[in-house]
Amino acid sequence: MSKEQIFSGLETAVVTGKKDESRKYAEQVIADGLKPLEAIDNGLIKGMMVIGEKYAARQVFLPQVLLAADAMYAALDVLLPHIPKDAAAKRVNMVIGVVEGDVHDIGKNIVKTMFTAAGFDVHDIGKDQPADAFVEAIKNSNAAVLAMSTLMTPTMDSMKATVDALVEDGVRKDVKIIIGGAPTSPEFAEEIGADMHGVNAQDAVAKVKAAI
Amino acid sequence: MAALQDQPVDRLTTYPIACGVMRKLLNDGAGISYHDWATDPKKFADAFIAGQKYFDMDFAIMLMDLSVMAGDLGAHVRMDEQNTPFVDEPCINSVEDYEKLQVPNIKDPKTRSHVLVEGTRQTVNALGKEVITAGFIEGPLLVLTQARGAEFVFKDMYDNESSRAAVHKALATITEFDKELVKAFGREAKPAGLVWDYLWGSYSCLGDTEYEEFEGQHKYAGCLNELTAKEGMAFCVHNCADLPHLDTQVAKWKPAIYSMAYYPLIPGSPSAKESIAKGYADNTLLAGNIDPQGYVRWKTEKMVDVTKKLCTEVATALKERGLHSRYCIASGCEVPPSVTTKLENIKACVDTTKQYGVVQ
Repeated sequence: MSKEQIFSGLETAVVTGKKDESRKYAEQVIADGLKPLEAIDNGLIKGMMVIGEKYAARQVFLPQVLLAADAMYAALDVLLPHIPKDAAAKRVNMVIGVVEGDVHDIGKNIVKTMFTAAGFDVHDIGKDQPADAFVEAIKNSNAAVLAMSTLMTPTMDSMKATVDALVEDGVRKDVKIIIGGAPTSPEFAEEIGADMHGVNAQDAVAKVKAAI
Repeated sequence: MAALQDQPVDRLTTYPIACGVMRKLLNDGAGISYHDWATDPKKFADAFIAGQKYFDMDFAIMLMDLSVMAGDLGAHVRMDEQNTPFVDEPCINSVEDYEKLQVPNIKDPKTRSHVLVEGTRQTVNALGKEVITAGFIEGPLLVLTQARGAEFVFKDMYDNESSRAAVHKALATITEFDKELVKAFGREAKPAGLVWDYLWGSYSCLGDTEYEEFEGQHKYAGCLNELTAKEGMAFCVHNCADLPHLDTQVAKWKPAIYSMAYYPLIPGSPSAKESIAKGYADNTLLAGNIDPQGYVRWKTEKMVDVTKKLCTEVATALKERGLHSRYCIASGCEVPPSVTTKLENIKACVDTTKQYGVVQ
């Protein structure tokens, strides 16, 4: 199988949401001694970009996006350990999570997928996470970006608590903060001291890329 | 009632969807915890009764929260003191678990379904002659996503034929659960209407094909909508998601009332005037679409201003469409039940609509 066929296979596996296929092609990348980063760029990311565009155009919907994400992660699990350390170090670290009191994470997971596809090294701390957990994760991962989400109104205050905790700990200046979720807005982001607000995953990636 | 039938009226109707926040009015204004409100039928009803006395709205819609049915199916529901209860541990943790779901006995007083029906009955008894009352019920797909987790359900829909069949099996069970609840609402609580929460009918989540297969078709929502009318209640829908499936949920299903939100930051989100202009209010009383955050964060002057502008927008659009009254000034989603929600903003919305919601 040629390099082009393998990369094309990765792309198709992501677009069609076939994680077994994507894993198979990823293993082929390693077996053939191809460069994992090249496979990510020319296979997985291309596939996720196609899915992102189709989702924006309402040609596919959440089920297809989520299955595509699974296919991408299945291949990344194989490829990432083989990336040379100096190349891995160049990736921008970010922390993402749902704030304390909220367990709704489907939006966060979509955003995480798009940032991963955009080349970020995403540290997902999960849902219902207290402010201290965000601070800890930023310090441990040397993150340059923090993304927080919430779907519920009562837990919006947890976003402010997290920003306040970052300020108090002295790490606020080291990260760009973007927030998202149905009840949030650019005004709210400004009010709590965040840097940006993302309407959706694509918007979030574009704004963060521009900011860093 | 005149507004529902698009008869000439003196003003637009109004109902900020104030439900959980009403608990703040109990206990001599000191409020009660969310847990107490959402587990005791009398306290549940007392809050709506107190709210009606305080705000004098045109409807009373007895929404509790969106974890009632999933909790009765076996999911663990977390109840914080002052936060909307939500599922924190799903009861479906594998594809095999879908087939294990069983319709609970909703006559058991320990179920929150029983609390909801009984609380609705008490509210209807107290307010039924004064305002239009409606029960609130979760659609099958919403319940399933609460019981399993939305992300897993969406993936299981199309991961393989076996998982897809399992999702349908669970939806069939939950549809039976919904039927039991509809009958209980219709025969015991007897509200004028029943509001279905069909929030996955959103183009941000599902397309027409996906929505039809997993909720829209007759064996799910179709038969439940019919049963609602058969049990003597007006069929109504609430969908606070962005980009709602208006052609299915309004044009095709023809609910008496359709409550919806507006997301100005999301391209394509339909505003009140667009919804009316496109004919969705021709046979349905549309309700919306003030930003629920406004009840928490805005100064009262801004709430008055926003409500006035929405009244003007709606009145103009209705007139242009040749309609009289088929719009209710409401919040796009539930008024946040936070302790910091400003009751004065709810009152301002209601009073401003009464003063400025005149339709010629």
